[in-house]
Amino acid sequence: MDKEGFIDFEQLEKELDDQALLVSVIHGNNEIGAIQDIKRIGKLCKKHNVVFHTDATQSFCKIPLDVNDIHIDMLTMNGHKLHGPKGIGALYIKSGIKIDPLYGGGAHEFRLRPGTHNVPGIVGFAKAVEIQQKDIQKNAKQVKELRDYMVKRLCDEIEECYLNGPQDLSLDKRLPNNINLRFSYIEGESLLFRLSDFGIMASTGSACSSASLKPSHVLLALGLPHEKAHGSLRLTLSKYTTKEEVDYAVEKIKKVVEELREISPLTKR
Amino acid sequence: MALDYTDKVIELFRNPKNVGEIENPSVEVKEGSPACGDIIQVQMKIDKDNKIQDIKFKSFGCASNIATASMATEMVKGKHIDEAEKITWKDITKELGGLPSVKIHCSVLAIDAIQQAVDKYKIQKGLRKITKDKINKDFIIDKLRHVIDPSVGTDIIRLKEVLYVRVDKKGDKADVLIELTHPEEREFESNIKQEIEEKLEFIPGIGKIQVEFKDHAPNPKSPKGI
Repeated sequence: MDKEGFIDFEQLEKELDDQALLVSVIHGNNEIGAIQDIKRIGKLCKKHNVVFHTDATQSFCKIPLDVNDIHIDMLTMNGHKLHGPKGIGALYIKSGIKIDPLYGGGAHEFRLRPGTHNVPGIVGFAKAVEIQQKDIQKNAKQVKELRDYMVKRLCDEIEECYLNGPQDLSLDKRLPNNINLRFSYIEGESLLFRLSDFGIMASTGSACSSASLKPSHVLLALGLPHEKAHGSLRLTLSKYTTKEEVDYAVEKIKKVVEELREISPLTKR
Repeated sequence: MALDYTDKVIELFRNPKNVGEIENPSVEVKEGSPACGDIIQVQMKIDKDNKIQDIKFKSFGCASNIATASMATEMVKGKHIDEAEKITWKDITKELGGLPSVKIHCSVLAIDAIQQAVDKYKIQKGLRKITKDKINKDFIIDKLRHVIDPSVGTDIIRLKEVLYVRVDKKGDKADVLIELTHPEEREFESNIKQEIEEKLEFIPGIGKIQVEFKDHAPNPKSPKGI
């Protein structure tokens, strides 16, 4: 993959030898928002006769996506990423593709997944899809505009603040709701902690927020050194986010970054 | 927050004590490495009776790092350096009401920094005499326990990355040669080398410090680290 998080097609084509069975590529990356060119991947897979699966949980109902237009054999989607219920998801399987169940025990869901159907989840998920699909273009545009505004303000107003992932913010390159920044000289967990005091919920690629000492594998794969990956902050917007909320968050982030830089031994004096 | 911090830790993280810098400190140390997500700088002003008149820290680190440093610096302030040196990680975590187990490595750093600062001060002032004859392989290995490989966040001795240590006492000073395996991520070689030099160069009895990264140990009988 390249520095912005897009997959390397030369490498992919090399991997598609006669041993290859399946290609699975995330459509919109959950950390950095990079949207892969799945149409091109689909074509390549078709050419080499390899099954293509895409995880579209982040992009589903956020940007237009049509399995009739793109060669996709399987596609994963879920409810809670589109304001639907948690604990429900779906796998699209093109007719003709046969898969084994992960575990046995019952003949439910075409013998693919044992257990009683989660009916409220299914109904809620379907309703959420219905609502989201209706205004997909309008919502994408609205969220993108707000996101672009927030990125611009943060990068303009905070020194040494950088955007991780795709620099091109268009709808076919980066998820419209995703922001992933890094701030030099500070550590992500401290940042999250202080932001949560102001009611701002975010996440970080810093190792300190997890049980391991390694920072986010996604950020490392972009070629970021460890110390830079530790200072990352991911913010996610939705169609319910307002400009007032964005302005409030920008002010608080500025304040917290400044305070943490004040106590950091790495800050240049 | 996801992690289970005590109220005391959260309070000290929000309002840490002794943050900042001292003008003309008696001693200054940095422990940790930015690459593993934690680094701490400790400065002390030590008076003529060897009491810690003032202590300040700066931290690039998570909440527990900041909270521990705040607590540790508060506990040693005003104390004699001999007493300060004896402070343990247990003393501090007890005061903090405990820490999540994944956070232990972040909290050890503050205590380490205090102990290293006192040690450095004592050596520099001649209170702890490190003459040429005291410098041997074990002495060097002990110092290398404070050098961290940023790719894993663990010290290079525990990782068995140090293959060979030679102390050469031909002149009036002991020259040191240290050979290591290439770390998992080679970009960190210069970090590791720099840290090794920082831990050794202030010691009066030490002369030339040579750090080399090798594929194999020089002695085929001990191909693995010391």
